[in-house]
Amino acid sequence: MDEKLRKIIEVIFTTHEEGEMDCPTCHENLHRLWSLVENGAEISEIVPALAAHLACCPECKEEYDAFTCIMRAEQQGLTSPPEA
Amino acid sequence: MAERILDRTNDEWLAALQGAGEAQAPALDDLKERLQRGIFYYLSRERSDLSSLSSHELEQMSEDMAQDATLRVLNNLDSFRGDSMFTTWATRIAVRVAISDLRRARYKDFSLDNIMADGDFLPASANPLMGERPLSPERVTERNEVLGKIRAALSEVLTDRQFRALYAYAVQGVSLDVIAEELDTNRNALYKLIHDARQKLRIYFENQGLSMDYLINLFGES
Repeated sequence: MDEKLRKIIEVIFTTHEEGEMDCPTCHENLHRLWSLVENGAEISEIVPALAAHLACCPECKEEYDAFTCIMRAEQQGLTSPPEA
Repeated sequence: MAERILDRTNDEWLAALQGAGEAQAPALDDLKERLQRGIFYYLSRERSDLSSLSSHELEQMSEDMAQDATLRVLNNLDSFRGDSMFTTWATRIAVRVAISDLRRARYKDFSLDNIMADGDFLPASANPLMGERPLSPERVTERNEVLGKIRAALSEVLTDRQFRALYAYAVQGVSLDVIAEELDTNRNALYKLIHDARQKLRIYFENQGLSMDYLINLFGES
């Protein structure tokens, strides 16, 4: 299948309905949700609108993944400075 | 020399960062160092597109990003509501700074002016010889009719601004930040513009009886 045609078809049919979360709201909620996410909460259960936004906004998904990656690494001590 | 304090409460972070030079400087250093370590981890472990860069180059990149992020945090202290750990909030800001920088670098030569007219990127017609076996004449006709409908939708349903933004975002994979700069707007307004374009097209296609499954099946079969 033509790659450009496939991308257009996918972006059209994966959009969400009016009234869902926008990019700034999604971004502004990341730090508030972390304490729940780090304890195993599923975004789709605690804030379905944010999960729906992440599913169709690759930019916010990229930022969410980067944020959780860094936070998990910090939690596990993977970003700690070497001990003196 | 001031003592380094790596773990502060939210109030201690705010007091130090809002304080005078002697109290502020070590807090700024600590915050920058913490953000830099997180960014470096992300760049070095999660970004396969940066795998050609040396560790030194990634260190330099993460230091620059952490510097920008620290200033951004400092300028936005008033917006911290205390609804998370201070460093969690700061990390969210640092992630935005880092990823925005990476997107701008990736698309530094991008221009919306280079995007062709509506629908021109689509195949001119269905190629009956493409795929593992030739298509039947009926299938070729069906594909060409649907291609015509898609072309018509892109040119008739969308404004030129919507088409170019949607094409850059969906087909070229260009970042919203970069497209927004080109269109002299902000990311959220652009997201709304593209969202509206997607919805208009979806409604148009549904009214034409064209579902995603049908289209994928029609153009995906060989």
